[in-house]
Amino acid sequence: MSLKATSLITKFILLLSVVALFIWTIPNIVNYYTNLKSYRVKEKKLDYMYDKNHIISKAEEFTLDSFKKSANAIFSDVSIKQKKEQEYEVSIEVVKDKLDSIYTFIKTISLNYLVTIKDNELKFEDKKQFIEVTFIVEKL
Amino acid sequence: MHNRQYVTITHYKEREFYYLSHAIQTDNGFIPKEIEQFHESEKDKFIEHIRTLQSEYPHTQIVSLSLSTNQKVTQKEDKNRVSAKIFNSNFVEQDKIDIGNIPTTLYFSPFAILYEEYKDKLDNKLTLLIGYFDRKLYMMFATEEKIHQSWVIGTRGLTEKQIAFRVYKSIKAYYKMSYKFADHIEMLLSDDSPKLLKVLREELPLTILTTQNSIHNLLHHMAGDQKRASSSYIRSSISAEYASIVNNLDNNLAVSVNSNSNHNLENLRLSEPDAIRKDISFFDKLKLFFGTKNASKPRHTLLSFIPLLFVLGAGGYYQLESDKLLNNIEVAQSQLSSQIDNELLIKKSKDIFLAMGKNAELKNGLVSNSKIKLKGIVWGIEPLRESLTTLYPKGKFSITALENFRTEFSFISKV
Repeated sequence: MSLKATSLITKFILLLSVVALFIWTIPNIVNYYTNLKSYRVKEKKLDYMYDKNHIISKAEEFTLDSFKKSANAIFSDVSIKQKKEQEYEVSIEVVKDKLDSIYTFIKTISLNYLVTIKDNELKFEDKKQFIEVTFIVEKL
Repeated sequence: MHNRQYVTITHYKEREFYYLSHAIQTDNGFIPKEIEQFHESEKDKFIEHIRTLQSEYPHTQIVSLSLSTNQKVTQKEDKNRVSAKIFNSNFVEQDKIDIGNIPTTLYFSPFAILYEEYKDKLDNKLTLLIGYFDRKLYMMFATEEKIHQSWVIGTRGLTEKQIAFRVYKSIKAYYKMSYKFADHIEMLLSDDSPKLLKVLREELPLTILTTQNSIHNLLHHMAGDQKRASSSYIRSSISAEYASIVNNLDNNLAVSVNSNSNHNLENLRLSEPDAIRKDISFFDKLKLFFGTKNASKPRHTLLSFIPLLFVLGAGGYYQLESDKLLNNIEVAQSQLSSQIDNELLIKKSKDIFLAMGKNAELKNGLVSNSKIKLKGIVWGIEPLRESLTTLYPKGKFSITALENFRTEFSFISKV
């Protein structure tokens, strides 16, 4: 099939294909591989954090039930209230000299669930032998 | 005597050659004359020869055969296509009459010839009629009632075994439609093809009965009788007024010179363009849309969409995948930032509780990565002030004396 012998519309479509290839398809392919590289770097950093904190499984989607279940397994007094659509207020009471357990829980919260602590803020309140720690988790 | 004879002039084109013959029609059949062959480069000479024969015998019909592969047998006449009635309830149709500028007055389909050849043999058993003309197989499944299905199979470039396989596929395809197998095959051959016959007989599970006759003889026979010719020549349905080209055709040589010159396919051809405009198919419209009359060009145009679709498809795929990756990157980045912030927050909390030690007891407090607010009871004021201001030098430490000899401290700082 000689290009000379083809019709004007055929030539136009072929030209359009070449133009689309260079201004749309190739940039998209390049963009994809750049993003893939960036994603792999971030995954590597996350993997390092998982290893450092001895966490085997990857973070799961936050659901009220599963979060409550895992918090209740560690602490005796946990209350979770939904504040907004994506926000939950978590209050945990621990014995004053057992604060380390709550530190470990909060430190790894974003590696276990796809959440962040709103405003990076912890509130402490004295409850005689106990201390209550309150924070708001926000779904990612 | 010469002038009163009715003569049929037959011609057809096979590959690059035109074949021409004429025969004197008599009450006892036709008397064929010699067959002449012209290369397609000698087309003018060939047409001139037809004209000479026409002038020699004023009562003539010029007869030809449609070897088009787009013919099919239908149950209902399509007024928008050229057609020939070949059975009480069947029509053979094709898109258009394509005879170039070669004089032709009667134009027959191989299906009409097949029907004419076998109509008396047909009964209520299904028979597969095959005509082998110009390396094409014109096949139809017929009973005495009607033709049930037709196919045209081109065989050029195929081996005999491949041809047999295609015929078998057609038999199978018809069986799938009707759950009927043909009782036997009747085959009309225009050429001697012993090898093809041998392979067909070996490969097909049906009895094949053959008849051999030349295209010229078949055409002379078709045009030799008024009833026969007028019932099965291909009419252009473009114009009803031409529907009976051979109405005046007479076995007794009564065809007038006027009717011969006025009512023929040459004249029909002249009126074709207007009509064809009416009969335009979707594909033709597509061709016109692309602004070309060349049949291969629209195909090229359609083919040229393949790279465009491929380019757009690949671009679309990578864009979608890239968007998904961006979403994943965003989640991973948020997770990483949260983790770093959480670690920092815990470190600050630990430092503050360590700084208070045994010198104070926290009543309530807020620890964040941007500010610190603490309130509690203090026992060792100076050590507490010192340790907290060491951590946050710009922090504001204040104390308040309480009634029960206790002292309350508060500490506010930005981080």
